[in-house]
Parts: sequence; C-alpha cells; structure tokens
Amino acid sequence: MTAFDRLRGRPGKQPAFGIVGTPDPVEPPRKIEPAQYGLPPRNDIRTDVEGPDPTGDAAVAAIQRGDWRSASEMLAGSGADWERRTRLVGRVGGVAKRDDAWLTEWLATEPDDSVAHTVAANALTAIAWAIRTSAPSQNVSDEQWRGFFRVMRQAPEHCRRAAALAPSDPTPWIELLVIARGLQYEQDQFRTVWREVVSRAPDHLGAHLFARIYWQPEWFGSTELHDAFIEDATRDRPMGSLFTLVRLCGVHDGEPRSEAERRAYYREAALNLVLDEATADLAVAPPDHPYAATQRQMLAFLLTNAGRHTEAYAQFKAIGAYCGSSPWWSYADPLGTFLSTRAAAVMGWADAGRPTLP
Amino acid sequence: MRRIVHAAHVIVLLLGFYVLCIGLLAALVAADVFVTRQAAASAALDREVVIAYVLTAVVAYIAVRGIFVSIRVRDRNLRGIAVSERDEPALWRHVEFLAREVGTRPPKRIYLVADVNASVWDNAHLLGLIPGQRRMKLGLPLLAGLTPAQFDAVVSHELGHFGNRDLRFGALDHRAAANVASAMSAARGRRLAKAGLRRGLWIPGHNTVEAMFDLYGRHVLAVTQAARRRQEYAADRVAADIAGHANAASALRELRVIATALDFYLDKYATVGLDRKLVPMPAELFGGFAAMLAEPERRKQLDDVRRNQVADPPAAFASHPPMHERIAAIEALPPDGRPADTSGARAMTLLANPSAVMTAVGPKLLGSDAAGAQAVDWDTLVTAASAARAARRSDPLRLVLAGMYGKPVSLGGLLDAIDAGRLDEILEELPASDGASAARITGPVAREAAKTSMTPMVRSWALAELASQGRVRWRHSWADSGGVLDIDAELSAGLSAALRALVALRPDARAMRRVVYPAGVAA
Repeated sequence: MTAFDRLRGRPGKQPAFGIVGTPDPVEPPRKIEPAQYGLPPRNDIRTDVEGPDPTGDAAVAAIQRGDWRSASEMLAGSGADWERRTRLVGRVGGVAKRDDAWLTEWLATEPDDSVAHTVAANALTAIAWAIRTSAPSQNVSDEQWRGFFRVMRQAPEHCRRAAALAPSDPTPWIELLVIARGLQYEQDQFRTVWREVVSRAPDHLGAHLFARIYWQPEWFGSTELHDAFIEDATRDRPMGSLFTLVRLCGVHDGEPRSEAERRAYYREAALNLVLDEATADLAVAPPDHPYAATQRQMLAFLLTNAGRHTEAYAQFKAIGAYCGSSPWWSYADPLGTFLSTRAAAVMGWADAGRPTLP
Repeated sequence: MRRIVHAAHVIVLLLGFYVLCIGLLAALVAADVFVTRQAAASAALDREVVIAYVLTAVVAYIAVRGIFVSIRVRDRNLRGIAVSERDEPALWRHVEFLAREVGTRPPKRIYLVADVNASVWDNAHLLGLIPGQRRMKLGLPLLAGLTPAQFDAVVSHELGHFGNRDLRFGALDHRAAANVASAMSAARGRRLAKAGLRRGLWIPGHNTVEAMFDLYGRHVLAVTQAARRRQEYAADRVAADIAGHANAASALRELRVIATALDFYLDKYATVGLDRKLVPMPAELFGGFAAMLAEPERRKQLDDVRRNQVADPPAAFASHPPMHERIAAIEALPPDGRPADTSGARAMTLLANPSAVMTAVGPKLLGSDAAGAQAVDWDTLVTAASAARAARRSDPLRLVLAGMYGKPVSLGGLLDAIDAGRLDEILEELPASDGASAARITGPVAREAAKTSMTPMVRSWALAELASQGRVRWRHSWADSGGVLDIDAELSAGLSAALRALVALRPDARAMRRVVYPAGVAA
C-alpha cells in the first residue's frame, strides 16, 4: 500500500489475475446469517409456491406419476371453492410445460370433463408464455411470437368447452381472462369475459388480480382505467377479504424506474396508508385464506422499500421458506431479489436497535 | 497545338500497335528460318523446329485477331431491331431534328434495342482511323422510362460526341480506346473461353503475347483517358443545352433507376418460369416492363431508389466519368430557367407502332436462355413460379419425411405419419429455429415451438399440392411479384382449419386429408 492509497483509504493494487474484479473492500456487502434471525437459508426456500400448499403439492406429485385421476379428484374436491380451484388448476396446468402426456390422456379419456378443459386452457397458456419467454416484447423473435399466438389461440376453445359443460363454474372464464390479455382482446371483448366472471364469482380475488393487469397502461388499459378498476374492486370489501392485495399489486407495478423517484414514491403518505390498511386486512384475515401468503410476500417487499423494516422483518418471518409469487416473479432473479430484500429488512431492523416485532 | 500533338501521339500509338504485331511476327519468322537452317545441318534439332513453328502459328493467330478485330458493330450482335424511316417516321424526324440542333449529321441507321443504354458510332475502319457509316442504337427501356425531354438529353449527348468541331480529335481518342480494348479482349480469347475451348488447351507462349498486348492496351487507355472524360463532359454540356439542365441531370439520374427496375423486372417477372421453360408472351416482355413502371407501389419503390443513389466505385479505365460527378457538373451550370419535364409522358410516345417494336425486341431481353421456351400469359407464369416456390418452402419437412420413409413422399405421406402417431418424431428431426435453439427449451414447449415452425411448411406443401390439382392458382400482380393467391373462400377456410387441427394439442390429420385429397384425388 502506498501512502497515497492510505490517504484515499483504498488498498494497494491487487495482482490482476481473476476474470472478475474483487469487491470494493471499503463497503463490504452486508450479509446476514438467516438462522440467527429465525429465517430459513437460501437452499430451503421454495420458488414454485408462495406458501404451504399441501393439496397442490399432492396434485402435482400425482400428475408427475402420470396419475391424472387423483389430481382430477382433488380438483373436484375443491367443490365450489372457486378460489382454491383456480389455484389448483394453475399448479396442475403448470406441469404441462415439462410434460403433458397426462393431459392428452385425460382429455382423450374424459372429453366431457370440464375441469380437464380448464386445466388444458391453463396448460396451453403456460406453454405459450414459455415459448414467448418473459423477455420484453421487442426482444421476442417473430418465430416466438408466432408460436405464442398459435398455442394461445387454442386455449379459448377449451374455456368454452369447460364453460358449456359446467355453466356455474367461473374458473374457465377466469382462465379466459388471462388468455384475453395474451391474445390482445379489445376492451369490450375483455369486459364481456369479465361480466361472465363476476356474474358467477363476484368475490373472486384471483380473478380481480388477473383482470387488473389487463387494465394497466402497459397492457391494454390506461392509468385512469387501471385506477378505476382498483377502486371498483376494493370498494366496500370487508376487512379480512384481502382485496387490499389488488391495490398492493398496483403499488408494486407503479414503482418508478429511477432510484431517486423510487425513494420519493415509497415516502408518500398515501402509499404508506395503503400499506397500513393492507397490514390490518391481513391481520384479521383467516390464516388459511388462499391469498394470505401472497399478501404477506407483497407486504414484505413494499414495507422494506418503504423503510418500514421492522414490519417487513415480521412478514418475512411469517413467510418462511417460500418465494413463489409476485412481486418476486417480476425480477430476472426472483430468489436473489427475495434474499436481498429480506436481508435489507433484517439489517434495517438491526440498525434500528432491534425493536420488538409487531 | 497541344491538341494536335496529342492526336499525333494517339495515331502513333495506334500505328504502333500494328508495328508491334508485325514486328513480333517478323521476329518469329526470322527465328523459324534460322532454326530450320540449323536443323538441316543437324537432325537432332527436329524438336526445336516443331516448337518454333507452333509458337509462330500461335503468335500469328493472336496478332491477326488483334489487328483485324474491329469495333464494327454487326447487326447480329445487337439485341434489337433496325427501324427504317417508314417504320418509325416520328422517331426519325425527331433524331434528325436533334442532330441539326447539335450540328452533326444524323445516323444512317437506327436500332431499337433491349439495353438500358443509347449510343452512336461510326463503323470505322483501320483501328478507327477512317470513319464509316454512322449508326445509332436506342434502348427501349429508356423509351419506356424517360420523359421525352430526358430522352432528348440522352440522344443529344450521343450526337454531341460528333457535333462539336473541337471534339473531332476527341472522337479519335474514343475510337482508339475502343479499338485497343477490343483487341485486348480478342487477344485474351474471350470467345474461345466462352465456348469452353480454352480450358485444357494450353497454347505455349500465349500468356506472354497476351501480357504484351495488355501492357500496350493499358498505355493507350491511360493516354486517352483524360481526353475521353473531357469529351463525356462536353457531350453532357450539349445535352444540357438542348434538353435543358434539369432534364439532362434527371436523365442521367434516371439511367440507374431504369437499370435497377429492369434488373428487378427480369429477375422477378420475366424469367421466373425459365427453369420450367416458360416465358411471357413476346408482346408482354416490354409491355410488362412499362406496366410495372406504371404501378403506384413500384413507383414509390423507384422513388426510394432515385433518392438513395450511391456514388459509383472509382474505376481505373472506365469509359465514362462517375455518374455523380457528371450530374454535379450539369447542376453546376448557370440556371437556364428551363423546368424539368414532369408531365409524366414517356418517350415511348415517339413510336408510331410501339406494340410491334416491343413484340420484336422483347424476346431479346431474355437471350438464348429462353430458346425453345413456351410463351404463356402472366397468370400461368406466376402460378408455375409460386407453386414451385411453395414446394421449395416445404423442403425441410419433405426431407425429414423422405428420411423416415427412405424415399420422397407426397403430402399424404406426412398425413399417414401423423395418423401413425409419429408427429413428435418428425418435430424432433425438423431443424430448430434459431430462437428455439437459443432458448434451450425442451418437452412440450419445444414441441409446440417446432409445430409452429412446421405449420407454414405444411401450408406451402398443401398449396403446391392444390396447385398441381388445379384447385388454386396465383393471379399476376405488378405490385407483388409472388402474385396473389387465388383460392376459393371455402377451400381457404378449410385449409386453415385443417392446419390448426394438424398441429393441435392432439394432432388430427383427417381434415387435411379431406381438404387436399377429397374423394377421387389420389394421394
């Protein structure tokens, strides 16, 4: 180390051997030891689900054994709990990206099973998005777009079949909500689908979460339509229904890109009021609410960014070893984002003198 | 004075060419005589005698070709027809008028040809030292693409080479260069090479003689270069004076545009059926070119070509200065107040009998490749070409199927394979698209991506099959060289539905079989 380096507080030159530089020793990255804070380590964290889902796990395991009949029974077992059925359809349909022989067999064996068609619609949507990839649209090749549309265009037919076979079931219509966004439905076309959904399941939170995305200005709505949708969705909802999640998702998607703007955004009183309300909503929601885990993930993320580290840490503790949902899915490295956000929350809490958790 | 010295220099160079040839021959004959005498004394020299004689014969052949080759343009070398005053009185009168304006004698003969060019020449004798009968050829593509004023500029430029008294010596340079250039190429044996005789036939000493001709020729070209370029600028000046600056400049610009359009036309329209020995009707060959130029869509494209002209690459011995420099020179002239001709009229209106001329010259556009070809209407031509293109588009898929069956199969073979549950096998064999291989996708995602790449191939294959059954055709279009698919609405809907079923989650070939092979059509 030269005297000059010492003055600048920098170490002497390192022999330049590595292909990557050494980290700046002035500001070592802060790391936490998760176990010391009652948090699960990286390797234990599941990225496929946002919280415990024993039924979903069992259905996926059955499907992977080729036992679609058991999965079909579990789906039927969800009865008129459309919220749970929608989530189960998503778990089962997602398997088709890796293997879909079971699905063709199911459809061939029971061509009049409405659930099979709903799952097929979900599976086609998943495959279509896997072909398209989640890259920004300008980076998607013509061939990928063609594949996306060709596969996606096959999905509505399955929704229609399912809806015809089970007229009271909203889940085929909810699948169509997602498909409509992929197939770039006109607003009136989309509203038609939406009316079919709310006439069957007006309180379906999942449906509202899907529909909100369509109304974003980046998709096929506008800031005004998007905000109006959130107001309509959340109006007169009882505490514990977790409809505040619709608003949380809007807050997350509305994050400005630049760091300075982001800081200001999270300091806004209105935003913090939304976080208060959502925290209270979650506190009185039944613990087995199908969206409790997602609400927690969303809150953990937003509270950390808002500098409310103690509350965020409490949410991370309650989350445990799961990070398979929004907001993490919107990042190139969901698990990495989850871990760094969690570390920031914990360190913020530690820096604040380790106050008692709420 | 300097001009006379230069002219003398050129004449000496031309005469020197003869001296070179004759001197070479004389030296060789002397050597022959010497060797023959020696051989009489010693029988061991027989081989050398033979070599010397052969060498002499070769040099004699090349030198004689070089001397007697002329820049005479023979009728049979022209890609066109001669038109008499009786055939085309208006054109003749117009050319004679322009000749008077320029101040030179009009040509004795006018040819209308298939080239994007116009020229005037005197059928000169003795390496261009003695002028002969004056002739003019006019490219029909120019008449189709230039306005009357632009056409006047082109003709005036050509006549301008002879018109100006000051340019008389310049004409000598021009002839000298043309002569030496053709002597050079004759010495190189272009025609022999073309006929395929040069290959494998090694003539001793040929290269040396050729190199000598080349060296001499390059010297002549270099000496005459400056004068020839000056002459082109002067001829452009004549054109600008007669047709107006704006028209002269735009005519030069237009030449490249017409050449581009004609190349495109020949490539995309006139010759698309050549590999199946199908050509357009003789009257349509030029008629089509004119029609394509009139198509609004093509006019827009040609506007782009006109706007985006690039400068010529520099060429050491090009006969003309670079086009952009010639245009700049005309535009640098003081304004003459004469506007550009924007009437939209074409010089073709000078012709009394355009359809007869177009019918006679049209086939010359295609040359010998079209010999024995059948003349058909445009719709037939585009149907044959587009059906062949559709078939080619499905080649990767046909190859996979041929590999599976061990022989090429029809579309029915693909449908059979899908019925037999072998679609996944086919999809795996199909070359992956760049995107798919880059994304490293597997399983159902890869399979569905491959189906997407396969779909247009199956469609093309089906269209080729339907075309061969006469159930679809393509309608000719000047806006789209591939033609417009003419397919019955019901058949089109049926084909799309059949395609979707073929690549659905559960592939089903039945609909495609019904569409392509209805009752009575064999697979």
